Amino acid sequence: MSSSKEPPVVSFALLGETYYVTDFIQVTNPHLKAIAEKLGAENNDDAILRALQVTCGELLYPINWKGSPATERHVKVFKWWDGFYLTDEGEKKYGWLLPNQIAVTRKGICIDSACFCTTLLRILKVDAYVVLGAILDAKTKKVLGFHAWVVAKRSDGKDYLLETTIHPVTPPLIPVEDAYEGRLKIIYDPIIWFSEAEYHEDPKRVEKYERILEQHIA
Amino acid sequence: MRTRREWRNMSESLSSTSHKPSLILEAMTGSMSELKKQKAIWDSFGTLEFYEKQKKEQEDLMNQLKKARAKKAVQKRVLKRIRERAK
Repeated sequence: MSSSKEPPVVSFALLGETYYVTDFIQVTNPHLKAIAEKLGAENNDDAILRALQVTCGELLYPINWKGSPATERHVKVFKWWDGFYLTDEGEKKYGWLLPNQIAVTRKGICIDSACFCTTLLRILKVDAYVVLGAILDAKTKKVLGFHAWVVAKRSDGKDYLLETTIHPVTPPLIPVEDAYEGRLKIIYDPIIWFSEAEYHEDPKRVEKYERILEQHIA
Repeated sequence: MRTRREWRNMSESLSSTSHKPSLILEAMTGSMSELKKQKAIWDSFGTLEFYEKQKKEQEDLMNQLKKARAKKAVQKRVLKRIRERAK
């Protein structure tokens, strides 16, 4: 595990603007603070449960008309006098949404809902962070894709995985050992983890998965 | 426009000199097997049926929309012909 003073930059936010990855945990945002306060959590474990409930119950995974995950984005801002738009990204790639944008759109892919849930947890002073990693088939160990999830520490001192892309039902909390060691149908393989204050990565896994991604792009 | 381009370049150079790994971060934008991965997760949590149902509903809605559009196009053509004949 390694940590760096300067976290990596995300240049594919909604409008193509630039942020540090840690900026996606908006602990000082008034909208998110209001949502966190409204949860009425009584203690650490209650906060984890309620933050997951609101994330899974109130948000939806974006689905296109074919019923497939809609990861495309097309942003138009400010209709100009001649019908063109001042900002028209028109890219096919998805742009990361900030948690306060998620609170308005109520839709987001894994990274969006994970940042939203982690923000609520961090506001409620829970030891939690977003994890970016790979999803592997537990039987074949084949990489199925890349994913983001939340890890939070309960009062028993154990870390639990919070899967934030299950809607509208709230999934159970999963002990990280079960998720990481293949006791489910899939294996969660963590590569990077961050909160508003910290950024860490596993250099070996970064190298391994970047090689896979490079091959995929080529 | 010039300023805007300069700003964009600044943003790009920031990305290139900053701490990596941007490829892993970019992979979160759904570029690789999003459906395959997500289906495996939903299946693992037993919620795949909900998404299959949602998919079916959306396909039905799309078919209804296609039919309605086709019907409207036919109505438009017929109306046009009637108007032409009336002239």
